[in-house]
Amino acid sequence: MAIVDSSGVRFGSTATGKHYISLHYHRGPAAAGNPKSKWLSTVTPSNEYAMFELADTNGWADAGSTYWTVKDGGTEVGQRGERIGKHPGPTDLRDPWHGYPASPSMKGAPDAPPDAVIEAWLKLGIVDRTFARRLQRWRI
Amino acid sequence: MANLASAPAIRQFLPGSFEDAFVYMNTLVVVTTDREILTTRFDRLIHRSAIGRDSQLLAGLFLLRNDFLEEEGTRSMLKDSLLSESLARRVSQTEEALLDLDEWEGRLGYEDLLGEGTLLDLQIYNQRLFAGTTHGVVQTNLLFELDDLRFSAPIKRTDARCLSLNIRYGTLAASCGPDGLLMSFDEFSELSNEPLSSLAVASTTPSVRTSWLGYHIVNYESATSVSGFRSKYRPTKSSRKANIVTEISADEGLLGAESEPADSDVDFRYNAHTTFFSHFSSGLFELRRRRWSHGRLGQIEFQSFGEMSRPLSTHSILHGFVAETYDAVVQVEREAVYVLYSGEAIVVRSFPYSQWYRNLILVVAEDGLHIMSPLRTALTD
Repeated sequence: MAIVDSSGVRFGSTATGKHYISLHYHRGPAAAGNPKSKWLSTVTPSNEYAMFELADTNGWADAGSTYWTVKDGGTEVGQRGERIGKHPGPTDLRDPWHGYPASPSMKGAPDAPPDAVIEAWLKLGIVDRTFARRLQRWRI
Repeated sequence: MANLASAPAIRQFLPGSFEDAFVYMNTLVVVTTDREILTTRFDRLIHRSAIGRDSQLLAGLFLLRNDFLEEEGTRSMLKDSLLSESLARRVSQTEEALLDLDEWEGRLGYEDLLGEGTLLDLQIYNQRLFAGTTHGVVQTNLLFELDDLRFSAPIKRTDARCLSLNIRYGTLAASCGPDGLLMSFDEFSELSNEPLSSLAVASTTPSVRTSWLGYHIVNYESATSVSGFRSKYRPTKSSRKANIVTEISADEGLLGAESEPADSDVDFRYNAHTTFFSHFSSGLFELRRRRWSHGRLGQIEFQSFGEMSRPLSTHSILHGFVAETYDAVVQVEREAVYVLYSGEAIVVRSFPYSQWYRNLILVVAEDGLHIMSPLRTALTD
């Protein structure tokens, strides 16, 4: 059951006990001077949570507890053409996770998933080889 | 991609499951998904194309000796519009030929050379193969013995994850993302006989790729953020060779206005010497060439605008460049954009300066290797 409050839409917990919030400020029309990346309207808060839940189940995370997601083999999820989601872990693990569209091409290392996660996606058929290599080379 | 014309080009296709490909000294080197490095003589491969004899002659000329397109006589002749239109029509009518290869001549296990990592970039220069991988930069020498090609024992140059490599003017520049720009100078011992060493950090600012502005380095910290490094260089003993870069240092003035903070609408930048390309989120792009005099950028020589999808990567050719977009590979010229390949590419490579294979373009896709030689470069200044 999702709960809407002033910050966003709250979900969870996941099978591993994590809570999630789809934040309002990563949604809606892009505003001039606002650097926050924003989800496309086709990625609903429920989609966003489902992406996170799948990543949590499969352990698609880096050492810093940031989870990485992809939708439908790598379709656009962000308003600037981003094709992956980044879901950083909260400082206090009792707080919810959140997420936003990411692009290593535009933002560099902070938006680059670990190679192990990309190779896992490729092995499971979540993405094809073209998408995996482009992502590993920071081209998308 | 909306309404872009197809570039007249000779195209051939080698089916297979490849990660990367490179043509060097009449040798095609491919890295397969089975983690093998395979080699074959490039001319033998091209001569095995399954097309008629007339088209085979044309394909041979365009793929094996397309330096003829850059010769003064050819370029003068192609200024005759009837001749150039006729050649363009003939080239356009030549369908992509299937290449049939029974047996690769050279075969080597990937792990023997490149280790456990995933290949991110491959360069071969001066009989050395350099591989940028997720586990660092590895180098091996190519040993040509009659018809045989062997590789020397590999040498690890750095453990840093390497996104792209750039070799020119005696330097090896490795763009290693957050680890910065790693370089070696006098890489090929043209100034001294110092032994090979590890790559040194030339700049701690992030690096995803580099390009050249004269002898100076342009470092791309991301798709849109760029900074200049001025070089010091010395002549080699051989007067026929270019100077050798010996050191670089950050120089905010090198790029002038071209390095100003990224316009928030710019989503990709690139330069080939003094031609600067900026792509905007609206889909429009600007191409601008600046005068270059005494190591300084000067006034704008030309400026043109066009429309195309956002590039994922760019590759220089003579008279323009090739851009990989999400679902096509296009040839970008001053006045127009043409489609070279329709489909998603894993790797795109261009060879603008090879002695014989001028402007040869390789596109590695999921189905195999597409080899092409565009005609348009010969028709434009």
